[in-house]
Amino acid sequence: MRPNLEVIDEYMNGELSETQKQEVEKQIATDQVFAKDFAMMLLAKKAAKEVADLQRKKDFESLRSGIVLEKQDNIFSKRYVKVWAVAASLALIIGFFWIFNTSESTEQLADNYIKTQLETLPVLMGTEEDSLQKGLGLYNKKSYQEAYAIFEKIAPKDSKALEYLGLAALQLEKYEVAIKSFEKLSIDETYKSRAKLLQALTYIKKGQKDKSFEIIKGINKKDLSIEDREFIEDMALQN
Amino acid sequence: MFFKKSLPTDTEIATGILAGGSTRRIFENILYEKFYYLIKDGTFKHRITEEDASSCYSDAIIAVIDAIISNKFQEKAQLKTYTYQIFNNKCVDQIRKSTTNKESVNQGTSIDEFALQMPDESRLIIQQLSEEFEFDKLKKQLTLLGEKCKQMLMAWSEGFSDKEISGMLEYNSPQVAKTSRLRCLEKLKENYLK
Repeated sequence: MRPNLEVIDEYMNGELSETQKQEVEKQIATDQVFAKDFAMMLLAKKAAKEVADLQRKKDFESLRSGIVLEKQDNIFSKRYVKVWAVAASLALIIGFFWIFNTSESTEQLADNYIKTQLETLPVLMGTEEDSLQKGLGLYNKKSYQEAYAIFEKIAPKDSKALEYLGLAALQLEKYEVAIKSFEKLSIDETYKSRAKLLQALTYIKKGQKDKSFEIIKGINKKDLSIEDREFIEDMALQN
Repeated sequence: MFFKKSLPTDTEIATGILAGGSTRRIFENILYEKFYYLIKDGTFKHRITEEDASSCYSDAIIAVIDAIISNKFQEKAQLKTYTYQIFNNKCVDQIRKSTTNKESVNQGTSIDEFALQMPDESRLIIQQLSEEFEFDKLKKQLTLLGEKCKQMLMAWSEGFSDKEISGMLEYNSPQVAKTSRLRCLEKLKENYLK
């Protein structure tokens, strides 16, 4: 006999024939456990939708902040060109001194991002352990050298492995390898923005902040997660 | 010479959202940006704060997306008019909520719209059983599930198919995604009943 949830799922997805549908409806009336599972599944979907909507609202809020900033930029560029040119010159002078005085905080931002976002990578669920997963397991145990060796083998065939190879190289301070991996990864449109972010991060670790800021300018923030977007915005403020 | 960036048409937006997967997300954001100016209108017309208007606008966009996904929006009205009407209603709800404190009223657990299409006898049973469930507890247990389970159930509730979920969450196949999703639901059920 098939599990209740599977049958209910197929009923909800409209995958059952008319006869099978009627059987489900009959079972609701006669089988209390089945009926409870049905009610639970409907409520679980409703609960998940509420949580999803809340998350989506947060995403829209970030989008809104981006639009507000963009509009402010437009206003500045159109209306106050001269005033802002003088202000920008002053800001440049102040910024020049500020950069020298805040170089530590740029490094701190990068270190903090690596610590919070890149020390533990998501391990795929429900699949058999393959090389990629094995590499991820080693990476998460901070066995970067061993993880690096595994990712290096599979990177030519797998974009995800290429990203992880770059990350392992970053953790091992093999910055040139990391940069090259992320550069290759950026050719794949799906990973372009993320790859550029990681490339910029590596340049900071390498001590080439100018290069990093240049890359950050070209990143399409819309393709990034909220955490990645926040990092990019914080970094842009440092420039 | 400057060219104004042209925004996608109603049909393009609806088609993009219906395409599912990551394309859907991109077009959802485009939809949000397209009528974003309504937030400002809402603050003037309803005299609510920009934050409240922004929250109502996000709610309205989510409702429009749901309507597109469930084929309730069939371009009989312009997307702008449709969004504006929903946004307006959300603003009025917001004003009512803040003036009568209706938010604190326990409104009970209503069954999903889906159940309304079931035969009377089954629907009544489900309605009755739904009321016995502690919805807030179930929601809390959902947020305590592992991140991947949570993401998967959220995507499922938004109408993403197992094929789209397998692509978005990097499962090997739609079948694996489906099995994992049902396992997550079982887990949720177990945790709820503990």
